[in-house]
Amino acid sequence: MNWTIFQEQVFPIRDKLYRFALRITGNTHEAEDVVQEVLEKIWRTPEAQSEQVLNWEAWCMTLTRNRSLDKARAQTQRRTTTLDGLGERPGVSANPAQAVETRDLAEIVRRMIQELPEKQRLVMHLRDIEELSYEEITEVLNISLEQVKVNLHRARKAIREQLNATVNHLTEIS
Amino acid sequence: MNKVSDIQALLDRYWEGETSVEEERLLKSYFNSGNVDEELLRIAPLFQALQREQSVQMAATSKVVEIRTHRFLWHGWAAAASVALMVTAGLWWWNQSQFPVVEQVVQTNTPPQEVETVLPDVAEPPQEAPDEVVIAQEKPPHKKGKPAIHSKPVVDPEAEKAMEEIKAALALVSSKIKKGRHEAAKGALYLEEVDKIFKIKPDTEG
Repeated sequence: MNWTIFQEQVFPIRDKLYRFALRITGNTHEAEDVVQEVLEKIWRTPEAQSEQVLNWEAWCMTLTRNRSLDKARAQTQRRTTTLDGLGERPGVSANPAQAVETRDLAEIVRRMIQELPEKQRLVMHLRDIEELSYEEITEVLNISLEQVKVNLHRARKAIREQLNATVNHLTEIS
Repeated sequence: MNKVSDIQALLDRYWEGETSVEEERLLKSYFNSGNVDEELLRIAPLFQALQREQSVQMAATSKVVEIRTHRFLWHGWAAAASVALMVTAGLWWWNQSQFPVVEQVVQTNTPPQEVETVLPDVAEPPQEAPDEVVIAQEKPPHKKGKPAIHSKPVVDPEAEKAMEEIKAALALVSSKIKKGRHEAAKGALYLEEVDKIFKIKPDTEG
Protein backbone atom coordinates (compact mmCIF):
# COMPACT_ATOMS: atom_id res chain seq x y z
CA MET A 1 0.00 0.00 0.00
CA ASN A 2 1.32 3.38 -1.02
CA TRP A 3 1.80 5.63 2.03
CA THR A 4 0.94 8.83 0.16
CA ILE A 5 -2.37 7.45 -1.09
CA PHE A 6 -3.13 6.14 2.39
CA GLN A 7 -2.40 9.54 3.89
CA GLU A 8 -4.23 11.61 1.29
CA GLN A 9 -7.16 9.43 0.31
CA VAL A 10 -7.92 7.15 3.23
CA PHE A 11 -7.19 9.01 6.48
CA PRO A 12 -9.22 12.13 5.61
CA ILE A 13 -12.39 10.03 5.27
CA ARG A 14 -12.01 8.08 8.51
CA ASP A 15 -14.89 10.00 10.12
CA LYS A 16 -17.11 9.15 7.18
CA LEU A 17 -16.22 5.50 7.63
CA TYR A 18 -16.95 5.78 11.33
CA ARG A 19 -20.38 7.40 10.78
CA PHE A 20 -21.30 4.76 8.22
CA ALA A 21 -20.19 1.96 10.57
CA LEU A 22 -22.14 3.62 13.38
CA ARG A 23 -25.25 3.83 11.18
CA ILE A 24 -25.08 0.08 10.56
CA THR A 25 -23.96 -1.25 13.94
CA GLY A 26 -25.65 1.40 16.10
CA ASN A 27 -22.78 1.05 18.58
CA THR A 28 -19.85 3.46 18.97
CA HIS A 29 -17.35 0.81 20.15
CA GLU A 30 -18.25 -1.57 17.34
CA ALA A 31 -18.00 1.30 14.85
CA GLU A 32 -14.52 2.26 16.13
CA ASP A 33 -13.41 -1.37 15.83
CA VAL A 34 -14.74 -1.53 12.28
CA VAL A 35 -12.79 1.58 11.23
CA GLN A 36 -9.62 0.26 12.88
CA GLU A 37 -9.95 -3.07 11.10
CA VAL A 38 -10.78 -1.49 7.76
CA LEU A 39 -7.78 0.87 7.97
CA GLU A 40 -5.49 -2.04 8.84
CA LYS A 41 -6.89 -4.08 5.97
CA ILE A 42 -6.40 -1.24 3.50
CA TRP A 43 -2.84 -0.67 4.75
CA ARG A 44 -2.02 -4.33 4.15
CA THR A 45 -3.52 -4.38 0.66
CA PRO A 46 -0.92 -5.50 -1.87
CA GLU A 47 0.37 -2.72 -4.13
CA ALA A 48 -0.87 -4.46 -7.28
CA GLN A 49 -4.42 -4.63 -5.92
CA SER A 50 -4.52 -1.08 -4.59
CA GLU A 51 -3.36 0.27 -7.96
CA GLN A 52 -6.63 -0.97 -9.46
CA VAL A 53 -8.79 1.10 -7.11
CA LEU A 54 -10.36 4.02 -8.99
CA ASN A 55 -12.54 5.52 -6.28
CA TRP A 56 -10.93 5.21 -2.86
CA GLU A 57 -13.87 6.62 -0.95
CA ALA A 58 -16.34 4.19 -2.50
CA TRP A 59 -13.97 1.28 -1.94
CA CYS A 60 -13.36 2.20 1.71
CA MET A 61 -17.09 2.62 2.27
CA THR A 62 -17.73 -0.79 0.72
CA LEU A 63 -15.20 -2.44 3.05
CA THR A 64 -16.78 -0.58 5.97
CA ARG A 65 -20.25 -1.75 4.99
CA ASN A 66 -19.16 -5.40 4.76
CA ARG A 67 -17.31 -5.36 8.06
CA SER A 68 -20.11 -3.47 9.82
CA LEU A 69 -22.76 -5.89 8.58
CA ASP A 70 -20.66 -8.80 9.86
CA LYS A 71 -20.41 -7.12 13.25
CA ALA A 72 -24.09 -6.21 13.33
CA ARG A 73 -25.09 -9.80 12.52
CA ALA A 74 -22.74 -11.20 15.17
CA GLN A 75 -24.12 -8.66 17.63
CA THR A 76 -27.70 -9.68 16.88
CA GLN A 77 -26.77 -13.34 17.25
CA ARG A 78 -25.06 -12.66 20.59
CA ARG A 79 -28.10 -10.82 21.86
CA THR A 80 -30.38 -13.62 20.70
CA THR A 81 -28.31 -16.39 22.23
CA THR A 82 -27.25 -14.74 25.46
CA LEU A 83 -30.19 -12.54 26.34
CA ASP A 84 -32.92 -14.21 24.33
CA GLY A 85 -33.90 -10.87 22.82
CA LEU A 86 -34.67 -9.29 26.16
CA GLY A 87 -31.50 -7.24 26.51
CA GLU A 88 -31.17 -3.56 25.89
CA ARG A 89 -30.07 -2.41 22.47
CA PRO A 90 -26.60 -0.94 22.67
CA GLY A 91 -26.01 2.35 20.92
CA VAL A 92 -29.67 3.35 20.89
CA SER A 93 -30.33 6.15 23.32
CA ALA A 94 -32.83 5.21 25.96
CA ASN A 95 -35.38 7.95 26.24
CA PRO A 96 -37.29 9.19 23.14
CA ALA A 97 -39.95 10.78 25.37
CA GLN A 98 -37.29 13.05 26.84
CA ALA A 99 -36.39 14.28 23.34
CA VAL A 100 -40.05 15.10 22.74
CA GLU A 101 -40.29 16.91 26.06
CA THR A 102 -37.23 19.01 25.33
CA ARG A 103 -38.48 19.59 21.78
CA ASP A 104 -35.18 18.31 20.37
CA LEU A 105 -36.79 17.50 17.06
CA ALA A 106 -33.46 17.01 15.30
CA GLU A 107 -32.71 14.19 17.76
CA ILE A 108 -36.14 12.69 17.04
CA VAL A 109 -35.37 12.83 13.29
CA ARG A 110 -32.05 11.05 13.94
CA ARG A 111 -33.96 8.24 15.63
CA MET A 112 -36.45 8.13 12.77
CA ILE A 113 -33.63 7.66 10.28
CA GLN A 114 -32.10 4.93 12.46
CA GLU A 115 -35.45 3.11 12.53
CA LEU A 116 -35.85 3.03 8.73
CA PRO A 117 -35.52 -0.31 6.89
CA GLU A 118 -31.83 -1.12 6.25
CA LYS A 119 -31.64 -0.20 2.55
CA GLN A 120 -33.57 3.05 2.96
CA ARG A 121 -31.48 3.96 6.01
CA LEU A 122 -28.16 3.32 4.27
CA VAL A 123 -29.13 5.03 1.01
CA MET A 124 -30.37 8.10 2.89
CA HIS A 125 -27.22 8.15 5.03
CA LEU A 126 -24.88 7.94 2.05
CA ARG A 127 -26.76 10.63 0.12
CA ASP A 128 -28.01 13.10 2.71
CA ILE A 129 -25.19 12.86 5.24
CA GLU A 130 -22.13 11.73 3.26
CA GLU A 131 -23.22 13.41 0.00
CA LEU A 132 -22.23 10.56 -2.30
CA SER A 133 -23.42 10.52 -5.90
CA TYR A 134 -26.05 7.96 -6.92
CA GLU A 135 -23.39 6.06 -8.85
CA GLU A 136 -21.15 5.85 -5.80
CA ILE A 137 -24.07 4.60 -3.72
CA THR A 138 -24.75 1.82 -6.24
CA GLU A 139 -21.10 0.79 -5.90
CA VAL A 140 -20.98 0.88 -2.10
CA LEU A 141 -24.28 -0.91 -1.53
CA ASN A 142 -24.05 -3.11 -4.62
CA ILE A 143 -27.57 -2.26 -5.78
CA SER A 144 -28.96 -0.80 -9.01
CA LEU A 145 -29.42 2.89 -9.71
CA GLU A 146 -33.17 2.35 -9.74
CA GLN A 147 -33.05 0.80 -6.28
CA VAL A 148 -31.04 3.74 -5.01
CA LYS A 149 -33.65 6.22 -6.27
CA VAL A 150 -36.61 4.21 -4.99
CA ASN A 151 -35.11 3.68 -1.54
CA LEU A 152 -34.07 7.32 -1.22
CA HIS A 153 -37.54 8.51 -2.23
CA ARG A 154 -39.22 6.17 0.26
CA ALA A 155 -36.85 7.12 3.05
CA ARG A 156 -37.36 10.87 2.61
CA LYS A 157 -41.12 10.41 2.31
CA ALA A 158 -41.25 8.33 5.50
CA ILE A 159 -39.22 10.87 7.47
CA ARG A 160 -41.32 13.75 6.14
CA GLU A 161 -44.58 12.04 7.19
CA GLN A 162 -43.28 11.07 10.62
CA LEU A 163 -41.89 14.53 11.23
CA ASN A 164 -45.21 16.14 10.21
CA ALA A 165 -47.07 13.81 12.56
CA THR A 166 -44.71 14.58 15.43
CA VAL A 167 -44.95 18.35 14.90
CA ASN A 168 -48.75 18.11 14.69
CA HIS A 169 -48.80 16.09 17.92
CA LEU A 170 -46.58 18.60 19.71
CA THR A 171 -48.74 21.48 18.46
CA GLU A 172 -51.88 19.78 19.79
CA ILE A 173 -50.52 19.11 23.27
CA SER A 174 -48.96 22.54 23.73
CA MET B 1 -36.73 36.84 -6.19
CA ASN B 2 -38.87 35.13 -3.55
CA LYS B 3 -36.53 33.13 -1.41
CA VAL B 4 -39.27 31.15 0.34
CA SER B 5 -40.74 30.02 -2.94
CA ASP B 6 -37.29 29.09 -4.22
CA ILE B 7 -36.67 26.99 -1.16
CA GLN B 8 -40.14 25.47 -1.44
CA ALA B 9 -39.45 24.55 -5.07
CA LEU B 10 -36.14 22.98 -4.07
CA LEU B 11 -37.90 21.10 -1.28
CA ASP B 12 -40.47 19.68 -3.68
CA ARG B 13 -37.67 18.38 -5.89
CA TYR B 14 -35.83 17.07 -2.82
CA TRP B 15 -38.79 14.87 -1.81
CA GLU B 16 -38.84 13.46 -5.32
CA GLY B 17 -35.12 12.72 -5.27
CA GLU B 18 -34.39 15.16 -8.09
CA THR B 19 -31.99 17.57 -6.38
CA SER B 20 -28.24 17.62 -6.88
CA VAL B 21 -25.75 17.43 -3.99
CA GLU B 22 -25.15 21.20 -4.36
CA GLU B 23 -28.87 21.97 -4.10
CA GLU B 24 -29.16 19.73 -1.05
CA ARG B 25 -26.27 21.62 0.54
CA LEU B 26 -28.15 24.83 -0.10
CA LEU B 27 -31.19 23.43 1.71
CA LYS B 28 -29.06 22.35 4.69
CA SER B 29 -27.48 25.78 4.79
CA TYR B 30 -30.84 27.56 4.71
CA PHE B 31 -32.51 25.43 7.39
CA ASN B 32 -29.49 25.74 9.69
CA SER B 33 -29.14 29.50 9.22
CA GLY B 34 -31.44 30.40 12.11
CA ASN B 35 -33.48 32.55 9.76
CA VAL B 36 -36.09 30.10 8.50
CA ASP B 37 -39.48 31.30 7.28
CA GLU B 38 -42.34 30.28 9.60
CA GLU B 39 -44.05 28.50 6.74
CA LEU B 40 -41.11 26.16 6.37
CA LEU B 41 -40.20 25.90 10.03
CA ARG B 42 -41.72 22.48 10.62
CA ILE B 43 -39.35 20.79 8.15
CA ALA B 44 -36.22 22.46 9.58
CA PRO B 45 -35.47 19.64 12.11
CA LEU B 46 -34.76 17.25 9.24
CA PHE B 47 -31.94 19.37 7.81
CA GLN B 48 -30.71 20.26 11.28
CA ALA B 49 -30.44 16.54 12.04
CA LEU B 50 -28.58 15.89 8.78
CA GLN B 51 -26.08 18.66 9.51
CA ARG B 52 -25.63 17.46 13.08
CA GLU B 53 -24.95 13.93 11.83
CA GLN B 54 -22.37 15.25 9.38
CA SER B 55 -20.33 16.63 12.25
CA VAL B 56 -20.09 13.31 14.14
CA GLN B 57 -16.44 12.35 14.49
CA MET B 58 -14.61 9.30 15.63
CA ALA B 59 -13.50 9.95 19.20
CA ALA B 60 -10.03 9.11 20.52
CA THR B 61 -8.90 7.43 17.34
CA SER B 62 -5.24 7.69 18.22
CA LYS B 63 -5.93 5.95 21.54
CA VAL B 64 -7.20 2.91 19.68
CA VAL B 65 -3.96 2.78 17.76
CA GLU B 66 -1.82 3.33 20.85
CA ILE B 67 -3.51 0.56 22.80
CA ARG B 68 -2.72 -1.91 20.07
CA THR B 69 0.83 -0.63 19.84
CA HIS B 70 1.46 -1.14 23.53
CA ARG B 71 -0.02 -4.58 23.45
CA PHE B 72 2.25 -5.57 20.55
CA LEU B 73 5.42 -4.22 22.22
CA TRP B 74 4.51 -5.71 25.58
CA HIS B 75 4.30 -9.18 24.10
CA GLY B 76 7.59 -8.79 22.27
CA TRP B 77 9.53 -7.55 25.29
CA ALA B 78 7.88 -10.08 27.59
CA ALA B 79 9.00 -12.93 25.34
CA ALA B 80 12.56 -11.57 25.12
CA ALA B 81 12.68 -11.01 28.90
CA SER B 82 11.50 -14.52 29.70
CA VAL B 83 14.08 -16.07 27.37
CA ALA B 84 16.80 -13.91 28.94
CA LEU B 85 15.63 -14.91 32.43
CA MET B 86 15.71 -18.59 31.58
CA VAL B 87 19.20 -18.34 30.10
CA THR B 88 20.47 -16.37 33.10
CA ALA B 89 18.95 -18.87 35.50
CA GLY B 90 20.50 -21.73 33.54
CA LEU B 91 23.94 -20.10 33.63
CA TRP B 92 23.68 -19.45 37.36
CA TRP B 93 22.64 -22.99 38.06
CA TRP B 94 25.43 -24.37 35.90
CA ASN B 95 28.02 -22.17 37.64
CA GLN B 96 26.75 -23.19 41.07
CA SER B 97 26.94 -26.87 40.25
CA GLN B 98 30.37 -26.70 38.58
CA PHE B 99 32.57 -24.48 40.77
CA PRO B 100 32.43 -26.47 44.06
CA VAL B 101 33.61 -29.60 42.26
CA VAL B 102 36.56 -27.81 40.71
CA GLU B 103 37.44 -26.21 44.02
CA GLN B 104 37.41 -29.59 45.77
CA VAL B 105 39.68 -31.10 43.16
CA VAL B 106 42.07 -28.17 43.37
CA GLN B 107 42.22 -28.33 47.13
CA THR B 108 43.08 -32.01 47.14
CA ASN B 109 45.48 -31.47 44.32
CA THR B 110 49.05 -31.95 45.43
CA PRO B 111 52.37 -32.42 43.61
CA PRO B 112 52.70 -35.85 42.00
CA GLN B 113 55.51 -37.02 44.21
CA GLU B 114 53.50 -36.36 47.35
CA VAL B 115 50.56 -38.28 45.98
CA GLU B 116 52.82 -41.14 45.14
CA THR B 117 54.22 -41.26 48.65
CA VAL B 118 50.82 -40.99 50.22
CA LEU B 119 49.15 -43.57 48.11
CA PRO B 120 50.61 -46.73 49.71
CA ASP B 121 49.67 -45.50 53.21
CA VAL B 122 46.06 -44.78 52.40
CA ALA B 123 43.81 -47.72 52.83
CA GLU B 124 41.39 -46.74 50.20
CA PRO B 125 39.84 -48.96 47.59
CA PRO B 126 42.26 -49.31 44.70
CA GLN B 127 39.67 -48.23 42.14
CA GLU B 128 39.46 -44.70 43.61
CA ALA B 129 43.17 -43.99 43.77
CA PRO B 130 43.90 -43.98 40.02
CA ASP B 131 41.25 -41.30 39.46
CA GLU B 132 42.90 -39.03 41.93
CA VAL B 133 46.29 -39.63 40.45
CA VAL B 134 45.07 -38.95 36.96
CA ILE B 135 43.49 -35.68 38.03
CA ALA B 136 46.64 -34.68 39.83
CA GLN B 137 48.82 -35.48 36.85
CA GLU B 138 46.74 -33.27 34.57
CA LYS B 139 47.60 -30.30 36.71
CA PRO B 140 50.83 -28.35 36.06
CA PRO B 141 53.49 -28.51 38.76
CA HIS B 142 53.17 -26.01 41.62
CA LYS B 143 55.59 -24.45 43.97
CA LYS B 144 56.15 -26.67 46.95
CA GLY B 145 54.37 -25.77 50.18
CA LYS B 146 51.80 -23.39 48.67
CA PRO B 147 48.15 -24.24 48.18
CA ALA B 148 47.28 -24.75 44.55
CA ILE B 149 44.48 -22.20 44.42
CA HIS B 150 45.86 -20.39 41.34
CA SER B 151 46.23 -23.47 39.29
CA LYS B 152 44.60 -23.73 35.85
CA PRO B 153 40.99 -24.99 36.26
CA VAL B 154 40.30 -28.55 35.39
CA VAL B 155 38.67 -28.74 31.96
CA ASP B 156 35.92 -31.25 32.00
CA PRO B 157 34.97 -32.24 28.42
CA GLU B 158 31.29 -32.36 29.36
CA ALA B 159 31.44 -28.91 30.91
CA GLU B 160 33.21 -27.60 27.84
CA LYS B 161 30.50 -29.07 25.65
CA ALA B 162 27.80 -27.54 27.87
CA MET B 163 29.55 -24.18 27.67
CA GLU B 164 29.65 -24.39 23.88
CA GLU B 165 25.94 -25.18 23.80
CA ILE B 166 25.15 -22.25 26.08
CA LYS B 167 27.28 -19.95 23.93
CA ALA B 168 25.38 -21.10 20.87
CA ALA B 169 22.06 -20.57 22.65
CA LEU B 170 23.10 -17.10 23.76
CA ALA B 171 24.18 -16.25 20.23
CA LEU B 172 20.78 -17.39 18.97
CA VAL B 173 18.96 -15.36 21.64
CA SER B 174 21.13 -12.35 20.81
CA SER B 175 20.31 -12.59 17.12
CA LYS B 176 16.58 -12.90 17.89
CA ILE B 177 16.65 -9.89 20.21
CA LYS B 178 18.52 -7.86 17.57
CA LYS B 179 15.96 -8.87 14.96
CA GLY B 180 13.10 -8.11 17.37
CA ARG B 181 14.52 -4.69 18.19
CA HIS B 182 14.90 -3.94 14.51
CA GLU B 183 11.28 -4.94 13.80
CA ALA B 184 10.06 -3.01 16.85
CA ALA B 185 11.94 0.07 15.69
CA LYS B 186 10.38 -0.22 12.25
CA GLY B 187 6.94 -0.69 13.78
CA ALA B 188 7.41 2.21 16.16
CA LEU B 189 8.42 4.46 13.27
CA TYR B 190 5.33 3.50 11.29
CA LEU B 191 3.04 3.90 14.29
CA GLU B 192 4.50 7.31 15.06
CA GLU B 193 3.58 8.36 11.53
CA VAL B 194 0.11 6.86 11.90
CA ASP B 195 -0.34 8.62 15.21
CA LYS B 196 0.65 11.93 13.64
CA ILE B 197 -1.84 11.45 10.86
CA PHE B 198 -4.62 10.53 13.27
CA LYS B 199 -4.01 13.71 15.18
CA ILE B 200 -4.18 15.87 12.04
CA LYS B 201 -7.57 17.47 11.58
CA PRO B 202 -8.02 17.54 7.84
CA ASP B 203 -9.18 20.86 6.42
CA THR B 204 -10.76 19.31 3.39
CA GLU B 205 -13.26 17.28 5.33
CA GLY B 206 -16.88 18.23 5.29
